Order: sequence, then structure tokens, then C-alpha cells
Amino acid sequence: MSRCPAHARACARRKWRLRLWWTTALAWLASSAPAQGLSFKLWPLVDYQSTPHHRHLTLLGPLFEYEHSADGTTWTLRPLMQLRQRAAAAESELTLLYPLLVSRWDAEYMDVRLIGLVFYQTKQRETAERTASFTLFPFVFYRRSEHDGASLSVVPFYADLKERFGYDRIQMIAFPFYLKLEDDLVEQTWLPFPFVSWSGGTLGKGTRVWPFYGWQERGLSARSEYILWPFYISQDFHYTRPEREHRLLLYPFYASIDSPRVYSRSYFWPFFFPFLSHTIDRAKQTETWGFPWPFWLTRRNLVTDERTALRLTPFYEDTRFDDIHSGFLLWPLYRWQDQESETFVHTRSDVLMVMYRDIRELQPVAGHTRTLQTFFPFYRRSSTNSVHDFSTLALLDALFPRNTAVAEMYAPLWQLYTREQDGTQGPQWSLLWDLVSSDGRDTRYPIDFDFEQ
Amino acid sequence: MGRRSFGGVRLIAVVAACVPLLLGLGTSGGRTVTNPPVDFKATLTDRDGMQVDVSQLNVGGDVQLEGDMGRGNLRIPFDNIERVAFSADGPDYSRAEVQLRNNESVTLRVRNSLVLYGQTAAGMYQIRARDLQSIQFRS
Repeated sequence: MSRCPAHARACARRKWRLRLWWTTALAWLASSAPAQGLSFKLWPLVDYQSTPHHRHLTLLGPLFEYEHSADGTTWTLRPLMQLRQRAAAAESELTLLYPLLVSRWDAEYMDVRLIGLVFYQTKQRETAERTASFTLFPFVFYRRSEHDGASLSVVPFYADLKERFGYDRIQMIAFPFYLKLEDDLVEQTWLPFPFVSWSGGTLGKGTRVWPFYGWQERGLSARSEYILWPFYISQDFHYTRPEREHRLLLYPFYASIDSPRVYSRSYFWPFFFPFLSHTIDRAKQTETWGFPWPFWLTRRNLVTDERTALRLTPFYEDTRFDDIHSGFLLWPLYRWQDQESETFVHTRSDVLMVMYRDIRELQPVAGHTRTLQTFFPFYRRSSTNSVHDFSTLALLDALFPRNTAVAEMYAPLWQLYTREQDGTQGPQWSLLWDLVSSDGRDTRYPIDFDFEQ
Repeated sequence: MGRRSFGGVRLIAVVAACVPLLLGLGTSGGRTVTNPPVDFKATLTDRDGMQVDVSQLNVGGDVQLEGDMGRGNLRIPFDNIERVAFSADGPDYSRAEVQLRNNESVTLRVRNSLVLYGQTAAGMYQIRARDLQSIQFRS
């Protein structure tokens, strides 16, 4: 049906006035700090509550949420973004389509992370030096500081990286043409990688022509040698001391470990696991047979002759190791683990890894308890000391139950019912995104006005 | 900081790293301050000059000294250390001059709160880096 232009203009004016009214009203609600409390609810359009120290506003159920308190201010537009401003640390945090982009900043620091692969960071060091870095993992690494100047690494063409990937320094030119790694007073250089290499530095020695012959020493703590790698590999640890440990590998037929603590023999492994292995750990007083290790094994205590482990992957496992008792039935159908000491008790069981889990932690001396139970996609239940939470449904928050970003950004979208109780106080609960809810004292219904709290 | 995760050296390292697996062993585990993996004997001298002979010297169960060198971090296994001399380096750190067994030396900065443990005839001995003057390894 067509409408005349005058009617269209009138409609547009009415819509514009309506938008203006709503915007003004919401801005007033969000910014005003009444001396007395205020409550206004017209479900699911708007729900506003305020006290002298706390303001909370939701629009369209869980889609928009604003909260202000002494701790700071949070704006959330689910599932797109969240902006949090913490009052105490003067720190802000912006999350867009978590985990796509997460950014944090304050007066001296800024950190931007894009899908865990692109990083931009600036910070003021304790020494008053400013640094900045940009990373496109694992290819581009840019770093600038007043002390070291600017450096740019573009892997694999050129790199000069410090404190990366577990090494003190990594240098490469047209990898695999040239590679140099520095780590704990040992320098290893490949030219080209992996065929010709040598070791140097304060503690390093050695030369290698891979795969034919090579040797290396790391001071007096470790040395190794290979001939026709991997068919003959020999390693020694602490080789000047009585505790010397000698490891020999004659791939794929035989391997051994000999030290005052451990005696081990392994025979024939087509891939990375020995078909048959026999190990005596004199320190732990255990004897282990693997057939093939680690999938099928049995272990016994040499003093008591008690069997401490039986593993028949994927059918069954029952293992005791120190104070840890663990096992599974038809892995990964059901797994469990118990750990119990004088100061800490931890039990966990799960079904299909994450479909169901039940975790309980107790510190008897301190009197702290923590529990977590999830059953995807039905519910999530947790407690910390006297605070108990329950919610249903539970989707991502059942799969990643400790992830606070998932809990804040996404979980409210599918939580049909939530409940929280602290000690003996009345429970706070919400049904159907606050259609009906309670703050522990009063029940609020879909339409609720209270201007004289 | 994380160790040994660089993919470029994986080719060389993979079998060597798998040797414990190939041999059918699990982790060495069980390291505690009362049960270090290697028994290092040393004479510890505190900043008042008192000397204590200890065995099974360790730092939190590990038999290595870890500290800052420049802007990086360095771990030196006790196997390679002949002697360590400590001196004050600010309110939170000590300077550790490490003389290696190959006659070279390096200087680390260690936290004052770093605790070293050792066994004496009378029982467990522990001392913080800030209270130490030197460590002389005896074996």
C-alpha cells in the first residue's frame, strides 16, 4: 500500500521524536545518581534500577546492559562488544566479538590482541623507558624501545628476536639458510639448517653434520652424540657426577637408561612408542612394564608388591601416583582423578571430556571450598565457599566454565534461569531474562515501578 | 619463560626429546626441596661470615641457579658452577657473581627472596639470597 509524501514525513517526524524521547530518557536514567533508589521496569524493553552507589540498566533483555558502581562502569552490547572502565586502576578494556579483539589500556600501557595472532603493545617501563611492539604471529615482529632502538623481523627472511620462543635470542637469515639460537650460555648455529651446525658460547661445544655425525656439550650438565641420526643417539646428563644418567637409543630396536635412580630397557618401536619396555625406578621404588608403553602398562611398588597402575587404553585405567589416584573407563567416555593431601583435596570426574564435569576442591586447613559442575547444554553450577551459582541453559559457558569473557559476553543470551545465593541471604534469581526476578528480598514482575525506594 | 617450543629446531629435537618416551619412562617428577635429583655438596657462608656445610643443595627442588642477565633470564646448572659470590643490588635484588668450572664467570641478578635449601646433620637448612655471602661447591 502506498502512502502520500505528507503522511511519510509525519511518520518520520513521529519516529524521530520517539527516538529522541527514548534517548533522552535513557541518558537521564544512565547518568542520574539519585539520592534515593529508583526502579523502573517494562519487560523486555527496559529495566532500570539504581541506588545511591549502584546503577543498572538493561534494554531488550540481555542485548544491552549498563552497570555503574564504585568499581567502575561496564557497557555491554551482546554479543558484539563490551567496554569496561575500572575505577581503581584507571584501566579500560574493550572486547569486540570475543575472542576476535581484546584491548586493554591505561595511562601507561596499551595492549591490543586480534584473534590471538596480531598483537600491538605499548608500555612505559619501570625505568621510564617507553616501548612499543607489533606482532603478526609468527611472521612479523616489530619492537621499538628507547634503549634498544627499533627492530623488525620478518620470518623466515630475517629475524633478530630476543626473549622469544623460550630462547634468549634467535637470529635467522633466509631460513633455513642461517639460524642461530642462544640459550643459557649456549649458542647453536645452523648453516644451513638442519644439516651443518656447531655450538659455542660460554658453556657450549660441538659440531654436527646431520644426519651423519654430531656431538654437543652443555657445560658439565649434558652432552650428546649421534651417528646416522636417529639410528644411534647417546646422551649423558650430570656426566661428571655419581648421579650420571646415560641414555642410549638404537632406533628402532633398542633403548636404555642407566643411572643410580633409573634402569630402563625398551625394545622395538615402529613409531615413537616402544613395543615393550621395562623400567625400574629406584627412587620411587616402582617397576613398570609397558606393552606398548604408554598405552598399556602395569606398575607395582617394589616394597609392598602392590600394583599401583594398570592402564589398558582405551578400555580401563586405575593409577596411583604419589597422592594422585586417577583412571578412566572406555576413554573418553568417563574419566576421574582424585588428589588428597593434608592441605588440599581435589576430585574431578568428566564424561566425554567436557560434556559433563564435576570438580571439587577443598583446602581443609584454610576452610576454602570450590566446586564446579557443568552438563552441556543443560546447566552450569558452581560455588566458592558460601557463594553458589546456578544457570540453565549452558552452552559455551559449560564448555569453558572458567572463562569470564564467555560468562559475561555470551552466557546471558541463552540463560533461561539463573540463581545466585551468598550464605544465608535470600537467593537472587532471574527467569526468562528478568521476566520475573528477585534480588533476594523483593520479587519484580514484568511491569514494575518504584520511585521511592 | 617458556622453553623449547621453537618449531624450527623440531626436526633435530624431536627424537632426542622423545628419548624418554621411547624408553618407556614418564616424567622424572617428585622433585622437592628434600629430594633434589642430584646431590650437590657446598659450603654456604652467610653475610655474617658463618659457614654451613650442606648436601643436596637446591633451589625449590631444582639444581640450578636462575636469575636475570641484562634484560634476559639465565639458568645455570649447578654442575657448571664452582663458586657464587653474592652482594647487595638494590632493595629487592642481589648480585650473584658466578664462577664457572671452566674458569669463566658470569654475573646474574637474583631476587633477594630466592631461597636455597640444603641438608645438614641437624636437619634442613634454608637461607635467602639476601643473607648469603657465598656458595662454594665442594663436589
